Amino acid sequence: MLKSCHCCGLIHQVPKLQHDERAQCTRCDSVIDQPKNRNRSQARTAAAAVAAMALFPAAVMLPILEVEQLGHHHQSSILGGIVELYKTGSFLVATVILLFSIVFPLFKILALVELSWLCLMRQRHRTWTYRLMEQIGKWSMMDVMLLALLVMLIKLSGIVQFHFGPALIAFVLCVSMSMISAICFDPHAIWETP
Amino acid sequence: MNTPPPPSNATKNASETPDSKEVFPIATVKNLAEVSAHFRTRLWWITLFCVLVSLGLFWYSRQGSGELIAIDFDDSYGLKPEDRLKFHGVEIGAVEKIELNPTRDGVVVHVRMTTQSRSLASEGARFWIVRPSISLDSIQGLDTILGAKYLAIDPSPTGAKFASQFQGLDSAPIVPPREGALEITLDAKARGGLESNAPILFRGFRIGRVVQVGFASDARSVQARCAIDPEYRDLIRKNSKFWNRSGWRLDVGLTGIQLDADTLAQMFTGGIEVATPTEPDKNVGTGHRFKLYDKPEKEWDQWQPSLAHGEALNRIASKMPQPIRLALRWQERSFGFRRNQQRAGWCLPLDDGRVLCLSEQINAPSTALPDSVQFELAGLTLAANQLSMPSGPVSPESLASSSSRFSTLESLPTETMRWPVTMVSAKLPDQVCDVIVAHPDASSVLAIDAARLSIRNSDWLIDDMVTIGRDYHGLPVVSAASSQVIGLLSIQNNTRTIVAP
Repeated sequence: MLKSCHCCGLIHQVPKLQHDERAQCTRCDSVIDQPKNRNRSQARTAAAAVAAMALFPAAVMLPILEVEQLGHHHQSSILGGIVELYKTGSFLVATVILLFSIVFPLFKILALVELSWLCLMRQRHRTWTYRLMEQIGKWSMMDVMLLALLVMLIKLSGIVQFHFGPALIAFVLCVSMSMISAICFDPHAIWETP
Repeated sequence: MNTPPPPSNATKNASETPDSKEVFPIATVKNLAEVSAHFRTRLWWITLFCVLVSLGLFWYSRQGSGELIAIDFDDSYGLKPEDRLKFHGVEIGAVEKIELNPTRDGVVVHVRMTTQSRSLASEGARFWIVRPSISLDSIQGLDTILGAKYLAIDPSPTGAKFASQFQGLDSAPIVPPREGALEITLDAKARGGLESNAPILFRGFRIGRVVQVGFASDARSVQARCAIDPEYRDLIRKNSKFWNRSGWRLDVGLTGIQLDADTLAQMFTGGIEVATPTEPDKNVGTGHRFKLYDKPEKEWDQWQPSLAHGEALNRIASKMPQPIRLALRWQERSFGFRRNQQRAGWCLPLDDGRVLCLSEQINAPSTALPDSVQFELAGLTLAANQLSMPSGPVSPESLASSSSRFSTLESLPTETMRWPVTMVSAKLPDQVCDVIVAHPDASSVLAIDAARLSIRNSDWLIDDMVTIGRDYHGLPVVSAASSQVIGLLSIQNNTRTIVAP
């Protein structure tokens, strides 16, 4: 079977591997194929994706930030913030945030769950899902938003008082779980069967 | 797509039997354990943990929110949702929403209480919106000029039923006068800028406040109901003069401009000044009426009465005698056994080096074994010969109803508070008066009203109504009026007497 190294691109002939063997690139020593990991990667992807999915509602719906400015309190969740933006008329900003921090991440997580349940799908559907996930995953900005929150905390800490709400824990865990899930996912598993 | 057909546990695996003409696929057979192994990883534990965290967070965020209550106000005064409900400065709830009431003559503020503070919102609780105000005794709510307004609560006594509907107050409730305060009424021709809570000043010192200002019933004068703090009620006498001190006075003269204002708050609210003549009259009782003058007369400023202010129990501890423990120990022989006996009481060290105490405190009974008599005071243990007794024999019957002064050969510790001899009267006054039983523990100091005292022979007898602990035996008794030590308290089988020092 011909396989290219995903690191340096050199194409190898990969012999049929035993369960306790792995194939390495001759040029850069990256692992090209490891049958033992193939199953495990699916299981890990599934586990992490399900965890991210469980945390997602908590991260989006619970109050994430409590701002106290000169005695005025304001508590907002991500979803509540988007609704407020819509109400104040900033449709564009609200839509952008809605897409990039709720719709796309949610889709990515769902797609990962689906892909890790490979055995339940037909292959054509699987590749289609994978392509869509690859495209949309780029626009899933949950992790970036976390960074933005931290930057805001540092920048505004003198003027207003911040208290993080319970959603922050869910949010951080959700981001890390979806990242773990994406890292564990091995696209080769779509085409190759154990 | 040019990929091979997807073989999986439930897919068609096109392997044909050699002899068969019909092309029926044979299902792939898979071990069930193998299928489940497909999804086996330790990461599922983390998934479980994440699910629990998620559920826990939802549960947690529901926790803080308690009962929803509605409060009616005439005006919201800029209160906004998410503003806080505070009690003693602690947040106990938050405004959830504010809306007009159905009849549109006010607003309804919905407040979400925290679960712990549920009991505060019970029947009779009063709510008001704290906003900046300089119309009162002090400048209040300054923090709300820039910051958020907040709701304040004056909870009802504990045990009241929970309620969810309240009528809010327009402003902070009038604080009722303190227990024991002297309530008097001042009659004035005009209001003259008086507000409730305006201070009442004696030599510029705040001794009370105006509780309420209103018309007299026939509208011929303005009446100010005032409360004098209990510790200053002795300063107000029948011949005291009150005048309105309307904030500030600007004097422009040759020497320059002089601005007269006592306190900033007074500048805005005004106040009432009071003076008592150098020869003060009798005390007044609650309900007494005074005239409120517009301005003081010249000589009122010169009055310098010496008044014992401060309520009997609020006397400064250092001005009270500091008695110390005195124990007399001796041994007696009864039925052939030596038995330890003791008499415990109090004594008062005087500044001439002697110690004042009841005679029986230093005279052991005649049955005492010689050389077994000991005294204990101020951490010292003294034998009988280390005490110089007063000269002259004392008859045993009068031991309990007489006092003695002795001096010790060994000096008492220097930190012992000594009471000036000049502040000890020679005998009991001719008339009973209000007295205070001094005690080193300020909270144990006892006041006895003159009405509870009666003269019996040479002593004063204390009424049975007064409860006095047995361990008060020997404590010095101070006159409330002159603050002199006028006697010692003696407790003998349920008869409590005050004996001359």
